[in-house]
Amino acid sequence: MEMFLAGILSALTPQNLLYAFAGCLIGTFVGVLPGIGPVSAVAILFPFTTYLPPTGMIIALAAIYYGAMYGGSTTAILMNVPGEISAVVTALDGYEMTKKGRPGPALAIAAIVSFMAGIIGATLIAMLGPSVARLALMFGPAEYLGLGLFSLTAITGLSGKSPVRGVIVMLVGLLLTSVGYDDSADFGRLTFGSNDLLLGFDIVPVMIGLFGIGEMLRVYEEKTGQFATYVLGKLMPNREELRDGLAAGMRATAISFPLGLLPGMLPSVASFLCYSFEKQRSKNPEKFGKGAIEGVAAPEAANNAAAMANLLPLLTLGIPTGPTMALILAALTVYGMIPGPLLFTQHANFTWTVIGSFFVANVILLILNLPLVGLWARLATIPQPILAPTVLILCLVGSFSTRSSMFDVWVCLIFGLLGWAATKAGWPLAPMVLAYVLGPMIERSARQVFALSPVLLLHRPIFWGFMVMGVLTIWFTRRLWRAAA
Amino acid sequence: MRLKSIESAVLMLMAVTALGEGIRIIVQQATKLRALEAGGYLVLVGLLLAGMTVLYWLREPETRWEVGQGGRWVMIAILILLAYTLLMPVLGYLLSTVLALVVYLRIFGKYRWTFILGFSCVVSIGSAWLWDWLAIMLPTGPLPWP
Repeated sequence: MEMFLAGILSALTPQNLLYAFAGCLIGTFVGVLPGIGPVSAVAILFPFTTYLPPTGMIIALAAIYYGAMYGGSTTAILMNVPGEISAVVTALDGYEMTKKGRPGPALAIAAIVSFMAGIIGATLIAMLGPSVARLALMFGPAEYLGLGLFSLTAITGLSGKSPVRGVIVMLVGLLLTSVGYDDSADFGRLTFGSNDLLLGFDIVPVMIGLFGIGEMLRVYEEKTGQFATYVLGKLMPNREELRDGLAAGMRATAISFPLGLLPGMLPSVASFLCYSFEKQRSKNPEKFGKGAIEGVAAPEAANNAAAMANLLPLLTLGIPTGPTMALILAALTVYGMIPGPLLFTQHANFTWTVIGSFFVANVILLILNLPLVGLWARLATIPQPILAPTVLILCLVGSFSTRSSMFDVWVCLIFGLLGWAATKAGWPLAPMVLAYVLGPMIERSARQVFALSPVLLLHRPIFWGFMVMGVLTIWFTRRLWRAAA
Repeated sequence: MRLKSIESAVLMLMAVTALGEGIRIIVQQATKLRALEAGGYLVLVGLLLAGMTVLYWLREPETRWEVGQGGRWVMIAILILLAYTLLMPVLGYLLSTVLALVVYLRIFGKYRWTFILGFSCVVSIGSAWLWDWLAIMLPTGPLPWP
């Protein structure tokens, strides 16, 4: 408890407050811009946060992520232009409320339930984090191998309709992580005599290419729509809307937080599921899609609760449950922070400050979003011919900044083209990200296990526990996907 | 059928490359301590990729390449990006960025020249100042800054 309070106080220091505020502001700004979702926002801005101290970097990245989710909802409600995938569901009823002249209550409920879900999620992380992290003290190479393989089952949730494609993309990701100099073996792999390939593919240009450049190329392809005019009017919902919205938000939080702990359970999936659940349990399901307040509250609370939950396996066990968490894991490793119990012991100040900053960021976002909603809505109308090239240049510079190498710029560009082409042909990208981050850990653990003895695996119950959990996750996640479809 | 064939061929090529490299490491680097593990991992990933590619070829439906009406604009955007990346080491960040923005805004935005030149210069110089402040050492080309 003392550490938790110390973390909150540390998060409230002027410097950390500044990082949280800047992250929330930039994240909301980026989230409002059509075509740039939370994943792209974190990928594009990641290289620039490496200039911050370790605590500031993680605070800023997390604040950018949550801010982008908030921003995406604002344009979804006001203009039917979702800034990111989970906001698509919010737009179904949010935009209908705008058309009926009630955008203010829709925005207010979205902000309030998001805040509530974020605070509950952050509290649960603070309560459960140290206990879950202590489990990792029992981990050796076999357990980490099991953990890595279990985490790869996340591809079932990230593969969309085709698990086969998801597995193939994952294997390509594992292959890409093998390119470069093998420290323990003292020679290069898949370098073909190239000095550049000896350095390997850094995760940052790959991610920026896939999610930044790829996304902008998709923006070039799409037509721009006409935005309806609206009058913002009164912000606060009436008593009935507040009661129904908060109740729907609480239910969505209760469902989404446990789901968000599962690898592969993206916040957007939780949003769809909770919207479906609210519609099915409602006495008047016909009102959904026509401006139901529950239709706004449920997906908004769901995506925030799941996004918070995603951080728990990341901080305690080092399992990234999706692409954004993979980037935050990469950020932790930049400073040599290994997720797990050591994060809560040797780096306790850092960890509790980051957890404390989640509370602070949620308060900042509530304060930022309601009064500034008019400004965010105007930003969403920045013409694509101005926005897209600016973002593209930002992507290339961000890639260059990782190792001051033009090779990384080419990597970013090539992966951007591949990412765009892959999406056009229906290939998922997220499994590659997951494999990219987990690949080194899986290979290292597998090599350690086989160097000791493969028979070791037979005597490690935690390894087999992960294998069983992996099978159950695959089955459960595929069922949830079919239900959401 | 054609796109699926191309995809499968590329994936099989990657699988065979990984297999070949893994076997080469095991054979040629046999005296090194971790050669078997390093090569074995590549062999395993290569075999799995080959197997999954065969499964994809046999079981998965035909790939549809859905390009919207803006496909032509995507190609133009890519060409401009390629040219920008090639020119940056030669002309430097500032000049190449101004050029790239001018071309993008002219082709995609159809704005007036005064706006295009003004916006391009402001964004390029402003961003160059920001990168300089962040100590990102971008190519300078013939100019002394950034």
